[in-house]
Amino acid sequence: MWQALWTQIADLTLIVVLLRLMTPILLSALGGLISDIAGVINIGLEGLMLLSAFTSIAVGAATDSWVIGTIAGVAASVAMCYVMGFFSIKLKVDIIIAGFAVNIFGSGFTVFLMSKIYGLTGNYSPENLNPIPNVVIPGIQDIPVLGKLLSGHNLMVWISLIAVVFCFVLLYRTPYGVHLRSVGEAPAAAKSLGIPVGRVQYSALAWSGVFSGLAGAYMSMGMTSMFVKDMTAGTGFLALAVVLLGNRNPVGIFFGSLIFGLASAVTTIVQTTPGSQVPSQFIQMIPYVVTIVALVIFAVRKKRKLLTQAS
Amino acid sequence: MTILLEMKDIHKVYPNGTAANRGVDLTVYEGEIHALVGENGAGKSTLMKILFGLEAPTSGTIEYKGKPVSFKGPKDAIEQGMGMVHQHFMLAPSLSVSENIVLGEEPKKGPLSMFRDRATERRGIVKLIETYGLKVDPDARVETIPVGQKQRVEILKVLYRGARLIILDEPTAVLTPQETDELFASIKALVGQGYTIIFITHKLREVMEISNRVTVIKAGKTIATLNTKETNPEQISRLMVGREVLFRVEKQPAEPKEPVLSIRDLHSVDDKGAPALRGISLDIRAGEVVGIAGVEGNGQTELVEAITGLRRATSGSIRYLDKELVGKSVANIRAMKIGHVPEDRQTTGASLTSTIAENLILDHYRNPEFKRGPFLNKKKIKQFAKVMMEIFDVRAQNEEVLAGSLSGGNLQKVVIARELSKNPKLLIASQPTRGVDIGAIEFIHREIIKRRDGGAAVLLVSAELSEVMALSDRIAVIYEGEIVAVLDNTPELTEENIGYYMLGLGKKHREKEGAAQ
Repeated sequence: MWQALWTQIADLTLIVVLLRLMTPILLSALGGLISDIAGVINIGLEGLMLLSAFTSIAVGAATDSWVIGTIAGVAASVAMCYVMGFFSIKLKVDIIIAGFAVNIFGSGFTVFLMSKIYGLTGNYSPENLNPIPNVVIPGIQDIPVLGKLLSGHNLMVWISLIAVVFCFVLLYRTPYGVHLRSVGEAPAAAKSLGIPVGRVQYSALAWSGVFSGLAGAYMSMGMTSMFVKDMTAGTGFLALAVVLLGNRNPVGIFFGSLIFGLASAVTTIVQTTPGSQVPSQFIQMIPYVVTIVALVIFAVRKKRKLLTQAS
Repeated sequence: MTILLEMKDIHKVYPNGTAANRGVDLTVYEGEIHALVGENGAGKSTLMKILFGLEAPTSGTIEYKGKPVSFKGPKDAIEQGMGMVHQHFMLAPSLSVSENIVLGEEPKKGPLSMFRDRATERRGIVKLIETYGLKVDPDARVETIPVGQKQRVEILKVLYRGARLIILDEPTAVLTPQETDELFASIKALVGQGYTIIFITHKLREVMEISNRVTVIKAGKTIATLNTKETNPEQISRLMVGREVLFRVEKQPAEPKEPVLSIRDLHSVDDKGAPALRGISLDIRAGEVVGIAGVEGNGQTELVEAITGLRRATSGSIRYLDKELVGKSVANIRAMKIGHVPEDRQTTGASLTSTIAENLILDHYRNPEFKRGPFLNKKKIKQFAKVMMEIFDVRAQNEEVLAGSLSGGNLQKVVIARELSKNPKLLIASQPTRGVDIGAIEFIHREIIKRRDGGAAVLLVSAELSEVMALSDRIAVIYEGEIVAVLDNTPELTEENIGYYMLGLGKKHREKEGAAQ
């Protein structure tokens, strides 16, 4: 097992797998971040991803275009966010409850549609799917190490990395970003200066919809080529943990996602190694154990920081 | 002198029938400091909301710079050159000072640009700070700067938006005497540059010190507008309350006896786990009032909570008579004739969704006197409540009125009635008169002194230094979780003396009270 792991690290397969698995966590965590910063923490990321994953693959297969599929998935996710905003911002339903409702809805509704439209219960894998392409960089792909590092990744991997920079610029270099932060922290202050608090919060939820939509589309049309019932398997909740762990800033979230991506990558590699002696159930626990450990470390560090500040 | 703002015969009746303003007139001259005073609920804040377009008046007219105006929201008022510094700071703690100042009006790189122009922003703010002499670090995060500076940020905010008329809503409530002096200097400097200030307060000393004219509002009506030079605090308070008010709490010198409460080297942490009490030692004797003076957030809350069992002490001891309080439950402690008036009557002091009668027996309902078998004895409770409301002057239709519908002063009287009805040997009064009008303050102060004279030990915690000085026999100054000075409250003691210790500038202590053990 260790041997297999080592060879995969040495030939950079680990990095490739890591990037593949990190992408959905990173994208949905960025979505969670923006909503959290604006004071409307969206815990419905999981449901949004499922909704987008199903919509994008269904539309993508029907139109034979991953572009239209992805746009449809993102649109479905954003529309759901507006519904969520209507309930939580306009009707003042607790945002956590609204988020839970979205999770339950996303899980149930996709299964319902899958059975109604395709008559399937477990998973849907269209034969003629035109998935989100991999980016092969000519010239670089043949260079030994660099080729494997830079070339051949899925387009969405690159989009997720660009999204980190995009979020950083959005939050810290535009007035809109300052408004988002002020609305989340001191809504009364923002309102007293004429910032439309409700509208900013709607927009923050919409951003979380965009990013979880992209994550969902990637899950069904990039990482795999199928939709499986509840295929997100807790990614949305991992993403929320990453938001905290990343200290609520895009760069921190990138590193947080790396840790979780690594945990998932190790899991995948060990699982696919023949002759492993560790029961697979234990291996599958790794990402979740990492979540708990990471959050505990985070809490302890935060407490220590507070104590040193005070003395 | 030209008239800058004229509000005429403003009426405001809320849909539920409450008349908050019933004919208010306010005329403000350009370049003056105009004090607006009145008891709580007199209609000051409603008037300001109307001026700022947050509420529409039922009738009445507003003229600003000679033209009739009606604002639809704060943005309109801001555009016309008005600015308001709210009593509770309207700042986002994790943003920097400069981000807070420009919030909503950030300079951008070009008219169509999406991006902040941080260089221009910084230049503008540095210039603003220099022009008005309101010193504060533009790059510091707001959560890291002291209260006095936060207030400067608020003032800079309105100046940045080009305000010429600045409304300050009880700006000194959270400041130390030194910070208040600095604020007053800034205000005077602003007026010197042609700004106009409306200063809302209920501290008459400040009215006398800083204002040119003063408008008194009572029960939604303007009672009078006076030139400050031609009036005195007694006259203003008479107009505010409608009767004579005693300013000095009348009390005889204390006759302290044996210690009732002895705190030794008490340590505790705040809600975040950071140290809040760092070795407090203090004795309170029967028949004396010990006041805790300090800037809010220096451990006062934690100290009171530790004594009353609401917060765990990490180390140290609290002896009450001959018992140890550390480790005892709240119910146990309350059963030992310790009365506690909590600092927040809305959340800790009373149950707002219960009736007055229920609130009055919250602490006594286990008492057989109020029970009939396993049930509550409604009749006895009603009688008890009626008597208490009579004694403590709680003004409400009957004892079945919900506590949440009472005014601040009346609700506080309910809390105080409950705590005093058990004849405490130790009374802990935390902010006993916060947000309470002058008439009720007088009453509450008299009750506290009455208990002292009856032999109770009283621990008074108050953010109002004047209150601490008026009631206490000894004053303990708390700074960052330590008692830095214990001063005898002699007539020579001034606010500045105490303020010196409140800011942590000196220490005069090491309780020699170990001897009492």
